[in-house]
Amino acid sequence: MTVQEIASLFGVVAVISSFMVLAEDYIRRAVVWSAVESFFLAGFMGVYAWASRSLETAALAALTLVVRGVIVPEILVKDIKRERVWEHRELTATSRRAVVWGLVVSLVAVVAMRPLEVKVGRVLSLPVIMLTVSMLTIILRENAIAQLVGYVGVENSVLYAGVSLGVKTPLLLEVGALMDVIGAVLLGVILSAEKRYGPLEVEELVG
Amino acid sequence: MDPTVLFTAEIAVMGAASVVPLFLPWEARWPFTTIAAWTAFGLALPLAVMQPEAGLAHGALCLDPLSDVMVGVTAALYAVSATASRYSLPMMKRFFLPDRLYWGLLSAFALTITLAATSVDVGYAWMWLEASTIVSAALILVEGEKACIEGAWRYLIVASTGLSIGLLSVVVAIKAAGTSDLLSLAFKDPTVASAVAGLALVGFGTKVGLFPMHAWLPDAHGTAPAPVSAMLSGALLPAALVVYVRVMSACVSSGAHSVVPVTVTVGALTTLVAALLMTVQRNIKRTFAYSSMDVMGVATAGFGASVYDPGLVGPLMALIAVHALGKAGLFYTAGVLHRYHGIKRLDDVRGLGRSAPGLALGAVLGALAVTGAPPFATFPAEVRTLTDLATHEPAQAVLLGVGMTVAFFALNFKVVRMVVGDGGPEAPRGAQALVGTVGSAALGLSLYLLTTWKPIP
Repeated sequence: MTVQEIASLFGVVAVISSFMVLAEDYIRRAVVWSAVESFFLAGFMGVYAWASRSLETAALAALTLVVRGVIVPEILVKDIKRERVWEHRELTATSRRAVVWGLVVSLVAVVAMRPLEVKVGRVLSLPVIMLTVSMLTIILRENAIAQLVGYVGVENSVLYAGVSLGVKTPLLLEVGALMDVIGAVLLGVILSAEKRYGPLEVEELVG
Repeated sequence: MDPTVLFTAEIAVMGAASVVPLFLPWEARWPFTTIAAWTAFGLALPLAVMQPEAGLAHGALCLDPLSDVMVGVTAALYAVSATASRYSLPMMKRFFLPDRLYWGLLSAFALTITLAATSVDVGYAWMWLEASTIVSAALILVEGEKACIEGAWRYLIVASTGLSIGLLSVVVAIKAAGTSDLLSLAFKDPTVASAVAGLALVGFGTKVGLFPMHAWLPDAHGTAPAPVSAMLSGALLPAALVVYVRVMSACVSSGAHSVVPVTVTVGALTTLVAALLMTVQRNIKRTFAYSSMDVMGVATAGFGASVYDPGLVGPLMALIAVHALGKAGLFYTAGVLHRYHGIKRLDDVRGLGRSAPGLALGAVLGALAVTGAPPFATFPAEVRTLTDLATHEPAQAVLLGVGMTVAFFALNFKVVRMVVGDGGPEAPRGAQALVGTVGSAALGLSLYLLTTWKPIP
């Protein structure tokens, strides 16, 4: 196997994991799949960093592994254990509907990105599938923890696209750090809001 | 005076005001922030008036006519909002974040908007916009009501996700053009340029509140403290639009002409949808939020049309400036009604003209200003946008025209209903004076712009 093939394999597994997040009925398992997604994406970045001798990409891989692969899932799993309500199935999102939607938007994304892929000469479909599937996770779930998991997927997908395209500026690392700060803010809001109002379900705000 | 010195001093003042209030006793925070904000405005005003030559770049920052107007608008709203916070923050009963953070966050919010509008690098412009999301969400979270937490959550998740698509456009642009410098961004292939512009429209358009990515806007504006709503509406939305306009211009120059009708269509649809939503909305602040969406739709369509008529950029920047003051007057009115009387619904307000004439004046002038009534400077911008589109994109001109008309009657009718009648709620004299002055300033600014201002080349 070439380095390129190993990196692609990591990327494909990360994309499949994002589908698993979308399809999962139970919040806790969705969090675990999100960790798996980040773990394999970090592997993808690590292989790229090693092949291109890029210190910034290596740092990005470390950030992905530590923050989104370990710390965020760990905090969320602890929170879920504390609130027994999360052990129950979400009633508002069913896996069958989510998977159908996921497949449809993935197909649209691949067709839409094809002309750009040809011009740029890099594979963009996989990150874009991950992006659309993660956005679907946010849209189809009302639960704040599930939405945060979706946001982590969105962040992963954009960094995946950046590394796939071979962007070699410090900007990508800075962006990754900033998006992690937003993730941390979201996490902080969930934890604080739960203490005050119980589980955070984003209902329609009535005017 | 050297524009660079003025700008650097303004940034330094905003930066200091972001940190210092944390270490001050509570009674000193409002005076300090207000003085700092008015100082920043004093430094920014000459930039907006002088209009230094186009493309005056200084490292990572760029002072061109577009950013000069944005610097002036942001500083003006920062100054007025800091002043108006005196009538907002002390009336809050429950806090989610410590109230001492509010003053520093307000300054940091102005700072991030200013830096987003002046960044010459689209990557850093994106980062400042994202930073502004964090800061403004924290400002919404200062109040501990459940609706505020939900509003902030939705704002964070939707705006950040949308901006991620904007980041994708930045990444593709860097790969294709080899740079993210907006002054030298050029693409060899029109297909790539079109893709970059399309992704940027979705990504930055989310932050502008364009249809159909506007879901966060009424929640965030509706739940934020009124001074923050004014800054969100008058400064943040146009700053994101300016970033998109810069990317769009670079893409159109590279042959992506298909972007223009798409931009115009999205703008026209935004105005139409916002106008229709405004007609059925009962909550005061959410109505004003949809009005912001309506004006951003007009501005987006107008910037699209400016590809056919470059002279339209000047009137559009005037529209942005006057809208900022007009909308501030409206939001401060809503804020006073909410804080002092617990009124959130339009149906609960009558007779404001007799009970609180200052609020009535600010609200009426603000509504007329943002809906493009003459003699406000929004009027020529809207008319010129419509006439340009009637020539080049007639279908979109019809959509936009219908949207503008519905929005005009919807907002002005609702505001007039608040003003006429008897038995209205009273308001502190200071708040009335402030709101009346802000509304009058929108009229004064319009008269200045229409008579003496040198249009943007």
